[in-house]
Amino acid sequence: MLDLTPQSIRLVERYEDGTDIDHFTFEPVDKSKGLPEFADPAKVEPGQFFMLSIPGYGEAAFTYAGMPDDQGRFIALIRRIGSLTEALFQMKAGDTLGARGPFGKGWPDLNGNKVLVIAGGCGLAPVAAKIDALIAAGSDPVVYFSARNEAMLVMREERSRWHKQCKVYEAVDDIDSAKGSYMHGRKLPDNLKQIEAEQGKFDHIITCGPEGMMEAVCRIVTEAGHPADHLWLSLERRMHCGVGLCGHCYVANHLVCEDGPTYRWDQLGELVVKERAIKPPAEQVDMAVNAGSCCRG
Amino acid sequence: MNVYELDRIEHLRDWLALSHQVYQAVENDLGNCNWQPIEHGEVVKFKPNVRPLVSPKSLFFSEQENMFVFDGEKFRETLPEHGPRVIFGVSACDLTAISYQDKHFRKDPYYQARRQQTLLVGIDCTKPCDGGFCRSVDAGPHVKDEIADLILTPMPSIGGENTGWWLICSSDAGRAAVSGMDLRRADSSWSSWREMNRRHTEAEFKSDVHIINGIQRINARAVPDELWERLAHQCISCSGCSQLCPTCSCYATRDVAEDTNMVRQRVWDSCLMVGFQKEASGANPAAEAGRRMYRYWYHKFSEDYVAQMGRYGCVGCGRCESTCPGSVGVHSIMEKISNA
Repeated sequence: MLDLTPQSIRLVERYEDGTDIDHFTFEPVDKSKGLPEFADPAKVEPGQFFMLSIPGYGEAAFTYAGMPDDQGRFIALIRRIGSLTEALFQMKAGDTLGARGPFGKGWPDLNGNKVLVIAGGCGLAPVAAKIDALIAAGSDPVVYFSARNEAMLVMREERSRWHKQCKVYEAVDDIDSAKGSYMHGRKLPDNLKQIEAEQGKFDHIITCGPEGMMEAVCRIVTEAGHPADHLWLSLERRMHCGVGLCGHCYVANHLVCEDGPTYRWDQLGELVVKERAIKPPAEQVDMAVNAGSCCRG
Repeated sequence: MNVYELDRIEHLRDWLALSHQVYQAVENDLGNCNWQPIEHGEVVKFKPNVRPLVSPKSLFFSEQENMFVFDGEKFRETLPEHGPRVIFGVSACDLTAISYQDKHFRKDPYYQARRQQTLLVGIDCTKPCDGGFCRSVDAGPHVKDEIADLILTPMPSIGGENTGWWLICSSDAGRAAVSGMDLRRADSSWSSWREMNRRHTEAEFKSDVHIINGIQRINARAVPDELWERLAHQCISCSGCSQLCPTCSCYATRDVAEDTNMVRQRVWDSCLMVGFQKEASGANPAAEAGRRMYRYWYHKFSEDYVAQMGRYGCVGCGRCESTCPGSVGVHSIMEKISNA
């Protein structure tokens, strides 16, 4: 039987990590009977999500932006965007919330493969733990991260670590006012071409960001010859339960909370045909224009 | 299978009421029929061949219920508590819907807390109800053995007068519930009489050509977006169809303050509401009314769901048609899309 009741967690730490975006660390209050599943590094997979309860304001899905450590501490990157996150942004270290999980299908095991990770804005959060896992497995992932402007380059601590551990490309749309150094190209196809010219072909590509961006990524790389069954993305839908009951996160006959949130592009394509779930953008997507309009949960 | 003869249905109900809380559809002065508790010894006539305004859905999947309490430190689950229950005189369409919901909510602790305490007494329909098309979607008019614990089927009538009932024990729980009751064993003729009765009833159903065509067109994705959009103009998002649909199972949650505690509730929701999929960012994958309308009927009639759930999501009760103020219930919709 499912347990739809959360367990108490404590807000350990939060700091600003982008415009209206904070980097949160949580831990279970009661560890006396071992770590609860949602905080157990042996039970959580990169790409999965948990349901965060803010008593009085409800519950929403957030991705694990970092795997739980052996103390059960786990990370979420959360954007202030609705009433629930507004309440969360009023909380301080030591406050009590609720959590349950882990839910959904994580990213596939791609250890030993040459992987390119393409993330836009807050879309970095669902792939961050996978980047860590690929680095830990010695698979040397290549990361391409893009955002609207410098202030939206989220997860700065993680990125500064990745810069030492793997190849990271960064791009901002608003390049004129940027202080750092970024890729010259502003258009997604140009940047992808440059990355491939420098790094060669990739076995697998993982992408996460706004749906329009992901659709554009998938279209561009498949047109360039990358196989659709080696292309992965993560969907965002409103969720009230996380366990396939409430019906909110439907895409055709799938429920994203159980059947996703990670999908293989060709398999998602079948659903798209059934429901035209993801619409191609009306015009050519400038990678970073939409990036940052997305945040898990 | 144990089959008994029964002179009066009320005898069985009264017997079950000794040890169970019994619910039966009772007609009020307006002719509307709703599920109500009947006490042991209560004199309420049982009326066969009625379609209650609502299915017994809410007796398992409550329209509004508490899930847990937060006291400031800890979360505590609040499961529904009650003794054994009987839902008495449920027709085949509603029983089919319950078995569909049983599958959907198989791991839901709140649903199962009620369901596992409940005995289902089904009854065969002997004539089609207004707007009902259970026959077309394999959900009636007769009750299948596996979806009820006890089944009542009428003996042949003489001069229009009911002469009694056969009581079929179709599960161990059903058999146990009537053990000790003074019942005569039926002779073997019951099954051929029942079969004949079924054929007679099925022959009385109106044409279902529009239903069959509509199902085919939905599955062939042959209904243009523009038509869904046009039909959706008639939907006023009242959610009446979802509320009355015995297989609709979507819910939303909300937090309610109670003294110093916080209570998480869940309440019925409907995919026809504009905010159903709307995210905090304002992004809404189902912003277009036509897509929401397509969604609703896709969920009821798509073969994609048959593969998952073993049958269509529609049990042919016709309640959506009778409640819809915009004439986009099942018959109206299927008529329009099959002629499009």
